[in-house]
Amino acid sequence: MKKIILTTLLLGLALPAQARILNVVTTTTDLKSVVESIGKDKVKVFSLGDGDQNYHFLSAKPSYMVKAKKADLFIRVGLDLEIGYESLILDGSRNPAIRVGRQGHLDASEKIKPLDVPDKVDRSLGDIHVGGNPHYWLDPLNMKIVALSIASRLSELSPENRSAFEKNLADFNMKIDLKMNEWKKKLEPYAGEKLITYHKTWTYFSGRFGFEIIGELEPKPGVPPSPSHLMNVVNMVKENNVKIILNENIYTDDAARYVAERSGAVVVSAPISVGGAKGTDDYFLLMDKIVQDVAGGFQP
Amino acid sequence: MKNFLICIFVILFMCPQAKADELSELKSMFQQMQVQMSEMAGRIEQLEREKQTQAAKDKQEINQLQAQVEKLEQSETKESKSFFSTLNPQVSVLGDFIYKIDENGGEGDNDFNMREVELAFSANVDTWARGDVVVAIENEDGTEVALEEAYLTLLETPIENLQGKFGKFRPFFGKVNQMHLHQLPWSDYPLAVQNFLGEEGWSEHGVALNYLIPNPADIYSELTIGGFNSGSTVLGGDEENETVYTAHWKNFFDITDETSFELGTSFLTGENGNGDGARTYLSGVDVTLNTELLKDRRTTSHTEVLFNTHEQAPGDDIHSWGMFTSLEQQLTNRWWAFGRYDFSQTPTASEVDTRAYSTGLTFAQSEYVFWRAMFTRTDNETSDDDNTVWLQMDFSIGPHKPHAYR
Repeated sequence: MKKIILTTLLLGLALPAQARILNVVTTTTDLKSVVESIGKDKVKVFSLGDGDQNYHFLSAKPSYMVKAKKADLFIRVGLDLEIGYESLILDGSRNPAIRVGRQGHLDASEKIKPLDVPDKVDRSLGDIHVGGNPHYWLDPLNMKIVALSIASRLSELSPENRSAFEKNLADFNMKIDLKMNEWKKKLEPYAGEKLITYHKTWTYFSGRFGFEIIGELEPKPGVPPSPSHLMNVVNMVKENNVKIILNENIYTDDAARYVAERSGAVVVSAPISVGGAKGTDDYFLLMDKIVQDVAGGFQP
Repeated sequence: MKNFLICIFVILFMCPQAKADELSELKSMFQQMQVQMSEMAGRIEQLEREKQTQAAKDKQEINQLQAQVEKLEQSETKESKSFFSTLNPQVSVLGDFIYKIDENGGEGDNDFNMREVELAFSANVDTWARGDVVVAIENEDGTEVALEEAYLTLLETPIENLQGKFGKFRPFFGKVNQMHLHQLPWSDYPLAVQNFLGEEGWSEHGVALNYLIPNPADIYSELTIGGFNSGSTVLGGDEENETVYTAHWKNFFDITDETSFELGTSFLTGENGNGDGARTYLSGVDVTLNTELLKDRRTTSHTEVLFNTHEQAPGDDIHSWGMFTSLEQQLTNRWWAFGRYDFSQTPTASEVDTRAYSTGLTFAQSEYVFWRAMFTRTDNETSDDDNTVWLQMDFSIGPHKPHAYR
C-alpha cells in the first residue's frame, strides 16, 4: 500500500514537470510547416487555410474560433493578408492570450523586409497591401527569419523546451542553406529571364532567384484579367521574349493559356503553399516542386 | 714578333678586366632599379590599401546612413500608424441604390432611390472592448438620419467564454436579423422578418451576453441572452416600458472542410400592450447549409421559421407563423444566382397569408461593389397580387470591417 501511495505521489510530482504541448494556430500551411519543423513533438499545429486556397479570402468560420480558443499561440502571415477574417476569429475565440499585441499572437512578417510597398494607397489600384507584398514565404531566406521569430516565441511560451527549439532552428537553417544551393544551381541557367505571373505572388521568389517579372495577367491586384489587358500581355511576351507564364495554381490558368497560345510562351502552373499540390507536404517539398516546375518550364 | 706577342697578351689581359667593371656597374644599376621597383610596388600596395580602407569606410558610412534612414522611416510609419490606429476609428461609408419597378407601386417605387447610406465607425476602445457606431441616412418620406447601431462589445470579462454587448444593436434572433441591408443576399428582407421583426429587421437598445459553451466535441455552441426595450414594431406597440427578453442558441458544425451546417433556435417574449400583462412569444429556428465542393462554386441554403403567439384578451390568442427558404448558387467567382420562397402571416391576423417567390442574379464587381437584379411575385390574400423588379447597386468606401460567416 505504501509503495502504491509513493508511486502515485511520484507520478503526481512528475506530471506537472512534464513539458506541455503547445497548441498553435496558423493562418497558412507554410507557417504550420515551419512551426512543426521548430516545435516538432512539442507542438500541435492547426492551419486555418489549406494550401490550395486563396488566403486573401478565407472565411471566419465559427469552427475556427473554437480552434483559436484552445491556442497558446496564433501566428499570421501579416501585411494585411488576413484582414478579411482575423479579427472576427480572434474576437470570437474569447481567448485573450492570442489577441493582437499579446504574447500568444505573432505576426510572422515583423522582421521581414517587405517589397512592393505602395507609395500611394487607393482602391483604384486594386487590392493593394499598405504594408507591402505579403507573399514573402516564397523566398526561402525569409523563412529563416520567420523560423527565428517562431523559435523565439515558442521558447518564451515554453522555456523548458528552449534548447530543443534552438537545436531545431539550427537544423532548419542548415537545411535551408543546403537546399538553397541546390535550388539556386537548378535555376541558375535561367537567371535574368523575364516572367509573367498571374498575381503579384512571385515578387520575393523572383528576387531571390534572379528572375525579372515584367507584368501580371491581372491588370491590377485582385482584378480579373480583361481581354484588352491580355492582348497587351501577349505583345509584352513577344517583345520581351518571355518564355514562361508562371500561374499560381490557386487561380484558373485560362488567362495564362490564352496568352501562351498567342505568344508561344509556356504555362507553368505551380503551387504557392504547402499542400497546394501533390507531394508538397512541407516547406522544403513545396520549394522543390516550385523549382522543378519553373526549371521544367524553361526546358524545351 | 716579340712586340706583337706583348700586344696580344696586353689585349687579352686587359679586356676581361674592362668587362668585369662594366658588369659590376650594370649589376649595381639593376639592384638600384629593383629597390626602386620594390618601393613603387609598396607604394602601389599602400595606395590600394588606402583606397580599400576608404571604400570600406564609405560603405560603412552609407550603411549607417541607410540604417538611420530606415530607422527614421520606420519610426515615422510607426508613429503615424499608432496615431491613426489610436485616435481615429475605422470609418466606412456604404451606399445602397435601387430602382424598384412595382406594378402596384407606392412612394419611392418606379423611381431611382438612394435607399440608404450607412456611416460606420469602428475601433478598439481599450484593451478589453471594441466600439461600433452605425448611422443610417435613409431616403424614405424625405431624408431621415437614424442611429442604426451604437454599441460596446466587451471582448473580455471575468467569466471565461463570456462576452457582452451593450447599446443599440440588432439582437441575436435568427440569422438574417443580424444582417444589414447591404449584407443581404437579396434586395429586401424576407416577409417573415418584415412582419414579425420589422421592415428592416429589428434593432433596439439593450444588453446581450453571449457564452461559448465548452463541449468535448469542440462544436461551436453559443448561447446568447438579452434584454431590450420594447419600443419597436416587434411587439406591436411602443407605449410599454417593459423589457423584451431574448435568447438565441447557435450551433455550427464542420461536416467536411468544404461543407458546414448551422442550426440555431431563437426566442423572445415581452408584454405587447394589450393590457393585463398580455404577452407576445416569438420563437424561431434557423438552418444553414454551406458547401463548396468545387472551387468558386459555393452553394448556400438558408431557412428560417418563426412562430408567434400574440396574447389579446384571455382565451383569444392569435397564433401565426412565417418562414422563408433561400438557395444561393455561385456561378463563377463573381456571379451568383439565387431564389427565395416566402410565406408569412401577420402577427395580429393569422388568417392573412402572403406568399412570395423571388429569383435574381448578383454580380460582384469587386469586394466593394455589387450589382443585383431581382424579381419578386407576391401573392396577397387580401390585396392585389404584385410583381416587382429590383435593380440594386451597393458600394462601400473605407476599411469596412469584415463580415461574419454566413
